[in-house]
Amino acid sequence: MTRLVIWTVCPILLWAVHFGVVFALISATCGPRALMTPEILRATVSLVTVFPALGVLALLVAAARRRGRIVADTALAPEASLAATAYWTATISLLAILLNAVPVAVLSSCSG
Amino acid sequence: MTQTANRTPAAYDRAPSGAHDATFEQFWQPPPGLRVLSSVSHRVVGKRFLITGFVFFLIAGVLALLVRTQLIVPENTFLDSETYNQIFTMHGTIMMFLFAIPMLEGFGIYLIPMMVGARDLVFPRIGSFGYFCYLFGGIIVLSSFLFDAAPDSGWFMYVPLTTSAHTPGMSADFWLIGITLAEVASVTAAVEIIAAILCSRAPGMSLSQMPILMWYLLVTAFMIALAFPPLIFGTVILEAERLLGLPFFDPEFGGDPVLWQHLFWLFGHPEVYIIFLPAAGMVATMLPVFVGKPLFGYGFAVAAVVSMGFLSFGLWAHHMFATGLPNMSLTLFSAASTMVAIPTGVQIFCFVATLTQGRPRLTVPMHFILGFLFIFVLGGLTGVMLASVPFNLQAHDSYFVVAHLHYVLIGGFVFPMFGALYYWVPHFTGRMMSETLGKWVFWLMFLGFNLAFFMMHLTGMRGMPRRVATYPEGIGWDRLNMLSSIGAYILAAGIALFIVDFFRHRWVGRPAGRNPWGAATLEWLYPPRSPGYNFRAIPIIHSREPLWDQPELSRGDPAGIDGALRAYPDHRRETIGCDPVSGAPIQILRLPHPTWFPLVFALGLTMIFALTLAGLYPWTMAGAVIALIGLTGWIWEPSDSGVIRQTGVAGLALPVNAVDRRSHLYVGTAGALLISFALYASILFAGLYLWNTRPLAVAQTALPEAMPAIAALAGACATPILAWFARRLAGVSRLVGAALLDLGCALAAIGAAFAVGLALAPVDPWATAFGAVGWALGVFVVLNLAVVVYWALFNALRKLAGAVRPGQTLPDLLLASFVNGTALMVAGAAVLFLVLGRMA
Repeated sequence: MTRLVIWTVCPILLWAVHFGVVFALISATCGPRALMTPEILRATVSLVTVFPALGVLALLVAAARRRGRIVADTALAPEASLAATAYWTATISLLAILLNAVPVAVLSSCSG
Repeated sequence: MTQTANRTPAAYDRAPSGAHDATFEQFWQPPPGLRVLSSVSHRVVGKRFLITGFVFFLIAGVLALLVRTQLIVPENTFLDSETYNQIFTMHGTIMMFLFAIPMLEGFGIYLIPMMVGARDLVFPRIGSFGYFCYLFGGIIVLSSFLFDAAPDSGWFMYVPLTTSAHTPGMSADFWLIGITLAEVASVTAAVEIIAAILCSRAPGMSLSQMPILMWYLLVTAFMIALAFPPLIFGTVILEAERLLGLPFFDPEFGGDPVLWQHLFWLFGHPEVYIIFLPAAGMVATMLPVFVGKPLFGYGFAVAAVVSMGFLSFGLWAHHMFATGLPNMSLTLFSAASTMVAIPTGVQIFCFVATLTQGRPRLTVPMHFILGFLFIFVLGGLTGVMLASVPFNLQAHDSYFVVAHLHYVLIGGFVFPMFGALYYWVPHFTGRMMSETLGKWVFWLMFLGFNLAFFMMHLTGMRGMPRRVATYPEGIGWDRLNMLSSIGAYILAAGIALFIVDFFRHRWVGRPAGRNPWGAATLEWLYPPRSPGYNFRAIPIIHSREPLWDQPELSRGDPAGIDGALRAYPDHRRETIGCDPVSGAPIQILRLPHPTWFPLVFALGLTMIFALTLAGLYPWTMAGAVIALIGLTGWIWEPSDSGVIRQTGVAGLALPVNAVDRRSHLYVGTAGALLISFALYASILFAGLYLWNTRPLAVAQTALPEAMPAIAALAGACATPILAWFARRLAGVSRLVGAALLDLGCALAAIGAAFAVGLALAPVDPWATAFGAVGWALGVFVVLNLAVVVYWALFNALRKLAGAVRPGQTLPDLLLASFVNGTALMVAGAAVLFLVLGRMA
């Protein structure tokens, strides 16, 4: 059960870190210091999106497999609701991580 | 379970006992007369929060009626502009800070132990202390009316309007100081709620067996712990700018008014979810009762609430779309704002699906649940509209936004709250409120609310801005405002009728009887009003709906139900402590009896705040001394840790207050550190923000001294090492050696604090905002080091005074954890002093 709790929290925690990093990168690009160009920003955001997205995807698959095992084994029934929680949290987190990257993907510059 | 017992280094049988002549019922009773103020029972404290919160609700409601009376006709002179500004500011302030949050805390404090199968909260004194801080903070804010200094800058206190230059009187100070004191209650409640839910559940109640409301409250408590620190930091530095002239927000010195907005909305947006989530949790608790089926999609609902808890932190800047942020940032926040609609929708679908599973009983609470669904969904839809940047820019600062926020907050909190009051009121009075009057209350509130606030969508679309004291006639706003005001009066009539019903039912209401709604959760195990100890023996739980699925709980006398801790050999207040995940019992929690110390501590803190407000700065030391006396008396109590006692369940013996990382005290310390780290992160955010947006001013800031910064780093590394060795020595019963190491830890912390001060000596905090933030960081870590010094000295003194026996290492474990966190913060600050300034 502890593992399921971790699987529930980790994806959305990854989203939080990813959101913070994307916000910081956009601020660094679009602030007065202009620490990077939009092109470098795009490449960096792509890079920092791929890894958490894959991580969350892995958790999503793990949670889905766990759900399948719980359906087959009645002894694990008390964990069923937490397995569903882990699965749906991962799904929502994956969507949210991809959505974080959309502004950088669709806008060519800080002003749009 | 037994592993924990075996791990406890030494078991003593010398635990201090309570009054042996008192019966179980007697030592759980709250003290009579005025001594009830010393009661720390969750039942007493929870009711205090609820009653005080409701009084503040009524006050803020009257202020809202004054606003609507002023706007009922164009060119009205009922209120002058200055008074109008004060009225709407106080309305928003009281509703957000003194009503909504304390009410949810009240429900949480009252209901959590009864729903999880505990006899009280795990930190009852913190609840009592938090209540007094809230009460005194609220009184400070309200007393501004008496001094003709009511705040008038809006509930968000935007800078530069609230700086001394533009608000020269004391009105902003009343707000900043009073609200900061009231916020103490929120963060303490957060720690208490987290520890209570995770550590005091009945045997067998794993996380997946918890009542759904506990998930909502748990997530909310974490949100409070993370969301309030940015506001606390913001209010402190704004007050520092007003009192000391530090230029945090002054553009002339490299400050930035937009920084205030960031800090405020980093709190302000999660605040909306902090208010809404517990209310939704109450709906999720009540709805299955009236449908007669379990909540549909428990797992989905938990996923939704956990996701919302996190995602709500990514939306803060959607309140700042008109401040000139880069379009790319706006799009990021717009995307996140749209994203949060998904878990919200999942949750609403869980409610709707539950409704479809049976034929709902249309009781009064059910009316309010349906009202909630209707109103909140409309508010959510306008929220999605406002998440769109182009629409937001058009609707910004118009009555459309007023309509949206009231649909969300009244729909999302007030309607469920009234439903919850009708539902749980038998717990407070033992009687049922009137179904007939209750339905009148609902319909008056529902129709009045929609008339008042639906019109505001239209008023806003016709261009009426917020916060205007009057408007010219004939521009299309007259009739809509008239209707809104009439709606507000009807809404108020509904609330007035509720009050009548409440007082009426206390005399003529039908006695509630056992489980009057046919509910499934444990708080209805006993007939209301249930006894002060909640559970004579703590039942073993096998189901999420125990009163539906465990018939043995509903048969016969509830006091005769088998369970844990029926025997009370030490005549002390006790409950079962559990593993946070599995719910397996791991310890017996000793709970405090009535005490005055929380009140003394809160009075001392209030003196510090009030005397600062009055400008009597030297006298604040008296407040500090009183606070310290209150705190020391509070924590100086004989330790019961290490005593082994039988639980009365399957021969299970458990230690009292186990030395275990899963214990409530460890979880509480971790919660306190979480708040501390959130404060630290808020300061770092401010520094990084100014570093990024004000490079010229940053370049003009003097650099901290390198050598003292390195010394601070060394001190930061030394304190955890010394605390670790102290813990090890205490573990092998070498108490004098451990006490000496505690003293060494205190000395190292003092050294690190001096080094931080020396490192910052060249930095003039009045010269630039960046320098001021550097000092804020320094002061914050020094305050944490001061806590380490006090704690280490306290631990050493207890060991030397013989108050600690070998094996009782819980205080050492807790101190070591706090020292680790503090050392990390000091080291981070020292590294920043060495690196960031030099990057300018």
